[in-house]
Amino acid sequence: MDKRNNKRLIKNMVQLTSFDGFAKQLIENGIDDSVIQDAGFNNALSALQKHGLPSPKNEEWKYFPLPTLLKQSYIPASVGKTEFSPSSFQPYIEQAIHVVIVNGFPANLHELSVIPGLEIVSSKKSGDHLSDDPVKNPFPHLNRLLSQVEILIRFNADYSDNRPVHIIHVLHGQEFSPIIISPSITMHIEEGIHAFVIESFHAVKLTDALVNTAISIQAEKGSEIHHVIIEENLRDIVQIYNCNSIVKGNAKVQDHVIIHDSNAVRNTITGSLVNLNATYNIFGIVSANGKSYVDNHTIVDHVAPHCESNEMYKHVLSDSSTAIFNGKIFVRKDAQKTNAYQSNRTLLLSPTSTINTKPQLEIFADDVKCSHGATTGSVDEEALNYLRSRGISRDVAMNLLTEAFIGEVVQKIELDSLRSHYEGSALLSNKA
Amino acid sequence: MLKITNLHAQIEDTPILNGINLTVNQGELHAIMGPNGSGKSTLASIMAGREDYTITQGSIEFNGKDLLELAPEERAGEGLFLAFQYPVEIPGVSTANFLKTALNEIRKCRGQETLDAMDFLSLMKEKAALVELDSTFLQRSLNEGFSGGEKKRNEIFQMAMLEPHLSILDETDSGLDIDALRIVANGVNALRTKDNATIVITHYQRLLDYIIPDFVHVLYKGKIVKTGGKELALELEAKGYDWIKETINV
Repeated sequence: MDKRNNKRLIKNMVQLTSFDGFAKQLIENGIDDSVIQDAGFNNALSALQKHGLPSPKNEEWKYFPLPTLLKQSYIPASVGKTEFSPSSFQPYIEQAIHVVIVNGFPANLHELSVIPGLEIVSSKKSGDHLSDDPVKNPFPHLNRLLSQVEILIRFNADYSDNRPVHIIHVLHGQEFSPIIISPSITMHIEEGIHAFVIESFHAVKLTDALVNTAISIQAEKGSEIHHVIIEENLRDIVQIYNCNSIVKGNAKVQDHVIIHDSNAVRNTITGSLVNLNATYNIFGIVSANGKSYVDNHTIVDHVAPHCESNEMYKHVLSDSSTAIFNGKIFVRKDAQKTNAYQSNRTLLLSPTSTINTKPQLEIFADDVKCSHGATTGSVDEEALNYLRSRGISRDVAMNLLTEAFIGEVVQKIELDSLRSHYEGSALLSNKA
Repeated sequence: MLKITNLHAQIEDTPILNGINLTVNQGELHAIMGPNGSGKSTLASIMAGREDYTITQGSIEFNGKDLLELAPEERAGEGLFLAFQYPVEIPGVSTANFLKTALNEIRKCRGQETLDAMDFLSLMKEKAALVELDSTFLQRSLNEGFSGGEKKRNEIFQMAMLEPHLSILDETDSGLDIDALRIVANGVNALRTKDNATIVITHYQRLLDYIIPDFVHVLYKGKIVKTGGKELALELEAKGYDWIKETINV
C-alpha cells in the first residue's frame, strides 16, 4: 500500500480511490483549464465520483483482482522518448503502415508518407457521452479524464491500400512510478472500404503501470475491418483494454484478440450491430501461465434484425493461471432473424489452473438462431498415447496437441504474414 | 529379438494374462489367434506401454532391454511399432506434421540425421504409394474423417515410414473389406525383411491367406495353449475355437 496517498499527495499523482479531488489534482499536473470545463470530461468525472472503480462485489469484476492489482494513485504518463523503430517489436510486419504511439502520444505521424484515403490525426479528446455503463465498466470514463490526445484514424472513400495498419503502442517507463497510460483511438471506416488494423502493446523499461486504453470503431455501410489486438509479454503491468465497435448495414467488423505471457489483462470488447445484415465476429486466443489473470468480457449487441455474429475463444492455461470469460449476447426485441453463435473452449494443462466461464444470452426477439457452448478439459490421453507410441516424447506431444487446439482460431487470422507468425509454437508456454 | 517370459498381467483386480511365453527372432512373422477375451489386445497394449495394466509376474525383453522399463516413446525409439485396432483421430494435427515429428524423434534416438522438409515429403509420397493412399490425405488432420480402411492403411503407412524392427498388428483386419485387406496385406508383406519381425494379432484366418505366418500361436484364457505352423490357422478355421477349448479341458 502506498503510504503517501492518504496524507499529502506527491505532486503529479492522481488518486483512484476517490475522485472528489480529481480535477484539482489534474490542474496541479498542469492540465489546461479548458479540459476541466469540457462537458464530456465532466460527465465522465461525475460518473466516477458517483460509482468509483469496481469493487470485488461487482459481478463484472468478480474474478479479476483489481484491488490487489491497482495502486491507489498514479502519475499520468507524459510524452518522453519517442524514437522507436517499428522493427524492434514483434511481430514485425514489414509491409505494414506503422503508427507508433508512445504512452498514448503519437510519435511518428509526421513521418508517415501520404497514403491516399488514410487520414491519421491527433486532436483533443472529444465526445460528451460514453456508451459504456460506468457501473459495469468505468475504465473508458477514466480514460476520458486522463487521455490528453485522441488519435483519429479515418479510412476514407478513396482508401484502397492493401497494406495493414499496425498500431504499435510503446509503453515506456518514466522516472517515477507507478504511471497510468491512457491511449485513445477512434477508427472510422467509410462506406464500402476495407481495412486491416493490428494493434500491439510493448512494454519498454516499464514495471508497475496501469495501461487503460479506449478504442472506438465505426464501420459504415458495406465496409469491412479486421482488427487484431496483440497483448504479449506484458508482465508487471495491468493492461485494461476497452473497445467498442458500431457495425452498420452490410458491414463487417472482425476483432481478434491474442493474449500470451501477460500477467494481468482485462479486455472489455463490444460489437453493436445497428443496421440490417451487419456482421460482427470476435475471436480470442488466451495462453496464460504463472499466476496470471486474463479476463475477457465481450458483448455482442444485436440491435437490428438479420445480423450475424460469431464468437470463438480458446484458452490454454498452465501453472496457476486464471482466466475469466463472460460472453454476453443481447438480441433486442426487433432483432428478428438474428444468427448469433458463441463458443468458449479451454484446455487446462495444470491441476491448479482455473477458468471462470459464463456465456450470457439475453434474447428478446422470438425468431432467432442463437447458440452457445463452453467446454473445459485437459489433454486427450488417447491422443497423447498415440503420439508417444510413435516416438514423440510427452512434452513434444503435449505441444503438438496444444497447437492443434488453438490452431482453429489462429487460422481465422486473414493476414498471411501475421497468421504464419502465430502458427506452430509461438503461443505455447512451454516450448519443448 | 523379443522374449516374453511367463508374463502375468491384470487390469484392476482381474487377471487377463496368465503366463505368456513367446520368442520372436529376426525375419519371423508370428500370428496370434484366439477367441474374444483371450487377452490378445491386452498383450498388444502392454507391449505398447499402456498404463492401465499391472504386470504381476514375468518379463519382456526386447533387443536385450527390459521393455517394461521403457516409456512408450522410448519403445518406439528402440524400434517397436504397434498398429492400433482403433486408431485415434487427432483434429488439428496433420498426418504430415505428426509423422515428420515422430520420424525425426526416432532418427535422433538412433543417431541418424533428421530429414528436412523436402526429403521428408518425397519419402512420404513414396511410402504412401505402398498402401495406395493419395498424397492429399497427408495434409489432412490425422485420421479425421477417415474410413475404417483408410485408418488401417494409415497405420501401415506409418509403419513404412518409421521402419520398425518389430511390428505388432493388432487386429488390423477388423472392419476391412476384401480390397482394403489386400492393400494392407501387400503393404505388410512389402515391408518384411530378414532383419525385422512381425506379430499379427487376428481373430480370423482370412488375413493369413495374404500374410503367411511362420508360426501360429493360439491364445486362450491368457495363455498360449498351442503353437504350430501356418496349417494350424487352417485347422482352427475348420474346427473353430471350441476345438481348442475341448483340447485344453481334457
